[in-house]
Amino acid sequence: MDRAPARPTGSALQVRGLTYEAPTGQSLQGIDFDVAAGEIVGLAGIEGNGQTELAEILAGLRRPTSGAIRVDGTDTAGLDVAGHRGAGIGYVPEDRLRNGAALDESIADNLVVDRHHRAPLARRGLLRPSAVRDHAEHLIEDYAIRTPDASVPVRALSGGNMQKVIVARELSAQPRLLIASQVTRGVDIGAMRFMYERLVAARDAGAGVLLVSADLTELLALADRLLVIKDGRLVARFDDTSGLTEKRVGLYMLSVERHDPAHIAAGLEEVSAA
Amino acid sequence: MTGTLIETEDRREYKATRRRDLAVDLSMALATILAALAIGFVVMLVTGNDPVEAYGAMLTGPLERSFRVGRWLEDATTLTLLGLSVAIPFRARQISLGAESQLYAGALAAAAVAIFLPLPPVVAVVVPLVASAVAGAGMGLIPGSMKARLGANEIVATLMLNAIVVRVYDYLVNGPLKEPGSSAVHSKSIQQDSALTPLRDWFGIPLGRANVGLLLMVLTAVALWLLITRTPLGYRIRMTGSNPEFAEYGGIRVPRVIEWSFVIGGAVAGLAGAHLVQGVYGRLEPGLAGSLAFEGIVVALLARNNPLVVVVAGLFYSYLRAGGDIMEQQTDVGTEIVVVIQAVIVLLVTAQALPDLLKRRLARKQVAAR
Amino acid sequence: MSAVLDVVLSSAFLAAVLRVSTPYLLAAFGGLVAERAGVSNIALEGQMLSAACTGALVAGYSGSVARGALCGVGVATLLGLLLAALRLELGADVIIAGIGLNLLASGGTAYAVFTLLDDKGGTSGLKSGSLPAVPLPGIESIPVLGDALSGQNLVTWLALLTAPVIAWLFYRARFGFHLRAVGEMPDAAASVGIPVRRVQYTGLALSGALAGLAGVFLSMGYVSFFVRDMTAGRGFIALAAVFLGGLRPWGVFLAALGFGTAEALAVQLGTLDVPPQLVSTIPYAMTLVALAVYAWRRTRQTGGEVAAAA
Repeated sequence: MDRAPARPTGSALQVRGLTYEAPTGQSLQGIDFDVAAGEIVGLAGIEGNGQTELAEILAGLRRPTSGAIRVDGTDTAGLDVAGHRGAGIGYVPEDRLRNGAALDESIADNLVVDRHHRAPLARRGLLRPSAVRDHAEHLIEDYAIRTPDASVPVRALSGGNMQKVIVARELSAQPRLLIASQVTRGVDIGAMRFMYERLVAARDAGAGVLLVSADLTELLALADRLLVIKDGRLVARFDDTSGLTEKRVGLYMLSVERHDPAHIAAGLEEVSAA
Repeated sequence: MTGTLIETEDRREYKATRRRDLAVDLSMALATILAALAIGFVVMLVTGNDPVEAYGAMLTGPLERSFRVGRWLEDATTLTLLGLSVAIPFRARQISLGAESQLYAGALAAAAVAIFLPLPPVVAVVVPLVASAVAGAGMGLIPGSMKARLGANEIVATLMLNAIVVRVYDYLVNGPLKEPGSSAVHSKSIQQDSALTPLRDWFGIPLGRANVGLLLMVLTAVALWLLITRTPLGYRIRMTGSNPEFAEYGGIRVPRVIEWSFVIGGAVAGLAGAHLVQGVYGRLEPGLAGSLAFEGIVVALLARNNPLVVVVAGLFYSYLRAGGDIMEQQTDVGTEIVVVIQAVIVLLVTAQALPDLLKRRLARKQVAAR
Repeated sequence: MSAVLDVVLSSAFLAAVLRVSTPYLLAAFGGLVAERAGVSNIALEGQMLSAACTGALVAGYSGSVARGALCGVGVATLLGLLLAALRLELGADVIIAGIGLNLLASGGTAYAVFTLLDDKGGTSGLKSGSLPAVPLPGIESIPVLGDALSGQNLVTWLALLTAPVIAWLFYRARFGFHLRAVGEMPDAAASVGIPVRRVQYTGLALSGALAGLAGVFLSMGYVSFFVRDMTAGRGFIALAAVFLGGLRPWGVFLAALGFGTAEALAVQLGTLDVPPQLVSTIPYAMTLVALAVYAWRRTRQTGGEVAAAA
């Protein structure tokens, strides 16, 4: 993947002292990291080590037990999902069939879930079907979604096209921070390449991207910086991914090696918990 | 260049598929009704009745005299309102079986105003209607909140609420609200000004107890169709029903949407109660709704919860009910056969795999034909 | 108040509780088995009704109470299988299919009775007899309890036996293990070689049979005739008991017994100067409150956010 070096500007995401006691699944402990606007931060780890929980907390789908999260300077504590989106978060969920789409609804309807109540899609309390349709046709063309019509139910699309619908929705909201979980899982090569280009383009346009993936090749190709998660803790932080090999990252994923917590939290500015 | 060619080809094929699916849906609906009637035919035959004579009475009876038409339309008004009332929560995938409690609450509220509160004309019609909608909505809010906020099973909650409200209603009609000095059990009559105008006043022919409630019902259906297809709340209801986890992920407050779906449904069921009080009986009667509340569910299902189709399904279903009564008067066949036919329709409609199977087979045939 | 206490503490009241609880117990266990198999049985009501009607009619025409009871249970079992087939073969929504079957039972029984006996109300014109009471030798000598237990109907004994049998089935028998696995994780169950469909069919048949026994008790237990729509919502109450009992055999047992007690109490209180309609709302109001409390507790245990989406 050809890409220019990142030109990080402001801060897109600050996470400080994040803990989460999961009723089921993986709990999180003492997570500290930043994502700058204009960089892609990769999150590596063997699946089930807390990536899902972290992503869903950042998206507002779960509430953390303690810690502070700031998105583009906004404290997200106490915000609901819509509030998180309003603060500038976009989220491509890892399991698109579970919550990424309403499979039996049209592409057009799937593309507006976060904005159906706002102009130009709604005016004076009424939806404008023509605006919803235009919006969909625009994105279908922009993201090269292969479908005969915007009224086709999402279920009828291939994995790659379905994922394009989700990515189109999330990126077209122009998020300050995009959380992209397993974006290319079950997606054909063409669509995969397309996603990569879009993620880099979003980065270059000034978005922060947190790329969660089980695919180390993908992470090393795209990430400007890399974090590794194990058992609900961050165990490594690489601020320079050039020259990093899959084997080396793998050692951290398996807990054979780990970074000093001081190194992982180095240089992070203080953020007071709300 | 080739890209656009493929796309137009795709689009044409898609449109053909859509047309074919619509045709399959329509013919399946027709086939379902015919199959149910055929089963009814066999049942009558086996039980020693004359199905031809029975169906003759049932299918032509309701149109033979104008007051029978009125009876049909009056029944259809209540039934369609009840169908609409469950169609909305069903759209949010909430199995609300509470139309009965909402109807009785609405009937009580409408009657309380229409009997005891002197109001100027027009207002005297509107206020009881509003009161019934509010009461019905309140009765919907209870199971709605229990489901949305606590995750309590809405089927059980609505059924329990039905059982409670029906008994309280029964007590009130037999006790505090019973007309003093009357030997029969019913309330005092509503004030003249509160009555929904009978249709015979407009058309000048006897139309039984059919009244402007019919118009109100059609307006409600259109309003609900607009709500579902043209408003943000309707969108949220559809997404919540289709995939609640997706709705939540998209920033929709799912519990609130669920509550709204119950409240709207409850208000409409409340109006059905007002229709019975202000338009049909002119007072509270014991067992006002009969089995209509449950049959409203059937109507909504037949219409796949599309408000406009609910009107068609309601008219059709009521026609069968009205026909069944005439059939029983004119032949030896019990009107219960209509319930059996209705049940068969429900079972056939819910057997989703049948039309899908057919569609897939047709699609395969078309591919093979190329 | 002391009058009420006297009533409640009498052995006659205890006997009434057992009698009234019998259909709830059986139907609730029917609902439990189906629920655990992953198919909600909304059709309990219709299965009870069909069994009650079939039982009375067959017994009346054949003169054999046993044959009537067997046919009643058989019809309900078939309805259970039909529900399973609609769900598993034709992709029907279980709730809607259940509603359809209830409608079918309500219309079918009324039509049958009207056609056969030319009576809109029921089969009171037909001599159908009732199932025998079973006196247990020696049990009369136990104070209070003896009087309550002696002379209970055969079906009541069966209902009381159902609880330990179902508990044993669920937690000790292979079939019960399969049933629970199928209900909780059908894919996982299939992947370890459990015949998912067969288990579900069997579960639904058993569910129907239990509901059928409850229905047979209604028309052939203490009375000997069928009345139109005589189940009067008992199937739905039983379903509520399934959820209130937390889907566990002994929990369901207590919940069903609770409903029976409340109803028996309502009947007793009806003799006092309280409107009977209001007294009879007590069990339903209790259920509603219990449902809310139970759901609230569960929501608190699992953390509120998840429950809303479920």
